[in-house]
Amino acid sequence: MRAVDYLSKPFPRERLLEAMHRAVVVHRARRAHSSMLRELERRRAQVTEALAELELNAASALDAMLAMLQARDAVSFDHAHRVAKLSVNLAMAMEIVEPHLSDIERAALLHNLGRLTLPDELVKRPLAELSGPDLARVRAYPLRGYAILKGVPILAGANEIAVAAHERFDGSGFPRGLRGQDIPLGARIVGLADAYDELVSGIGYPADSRARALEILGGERAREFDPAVVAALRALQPGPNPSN
Amino acid sequence: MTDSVALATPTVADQLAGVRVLIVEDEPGVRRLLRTWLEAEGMTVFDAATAEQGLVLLDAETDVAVAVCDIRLPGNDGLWMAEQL
Repeated sequence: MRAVDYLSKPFPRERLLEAMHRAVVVHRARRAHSSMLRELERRRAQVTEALAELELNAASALDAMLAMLQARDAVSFDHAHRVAKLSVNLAMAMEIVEPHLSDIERAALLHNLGRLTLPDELVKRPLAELSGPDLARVRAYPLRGYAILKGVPILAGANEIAVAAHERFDGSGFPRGLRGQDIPLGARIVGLADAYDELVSGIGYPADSRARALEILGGERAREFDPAVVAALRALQPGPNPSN
Repeated sequence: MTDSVALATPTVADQLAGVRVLIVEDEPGVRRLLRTWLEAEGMTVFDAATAEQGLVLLDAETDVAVAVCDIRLPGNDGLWMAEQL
């Protein structure tokens, strides 16, 4: 600590008191400064805590929406969880980092939220059997999900991905018919994970083996998906590497 | 802040009353004189004859705001002591 004053002996009483006075002023200023720093640190901790709580609230809101989805359609709820897990694995394999990983995970969980707005008879029928206004209605459901989540700022990133999860690389998807790089990368990932899980879990079709599903997605349906994401999926597969 | 009000009207007695001060001085006569002067202002005085003793006192006593420290001391000097604080 720096000295406030130097007195050379002999010094009169007044000189000592003057130095004392100066030292007390400096001491009080230092104490005020350190108490201000402590207060700043306390408030910083409060902000951190509030942010954590906000994050928790977002997670609870997400859980509530997922519970609604589950109540309506348990099959699609389980499917959404598997798609979320695979999407995160694919994203990590493609070196995507936070906060985008969380957005992708949440988008995968919520990508079918808009289905809640469809009548039961439409939800239960495969897309291939639909036509006319019924088909148009089903192909518009991601926009309904988007509208539901639009007011939740912390899900904004996830929402942009979720609404595009049914777009296809060749432009054949919905609701907007986006193609290629116009589809957010997160949505290209969730889209492939979604299609893969539908194939291996047999949603709407007989279940295919993992290898067969990969063969379909990288072969006859290759135009629908981003080749980079398909390559990441292939790399994630256990067993012998097909390139060997 | 009440401190700044006090600073605006700085009378020495107001500033020093109740403040805890440490004197480090090896000559007993000088030590006694400084103690008398500072106690007359209402300060609470602790004293030590060496820098090492002074540090022990500062460890033991809370809220010591100021130290008056002789520079030439037996053992470590007053400048060394200032560096330890």
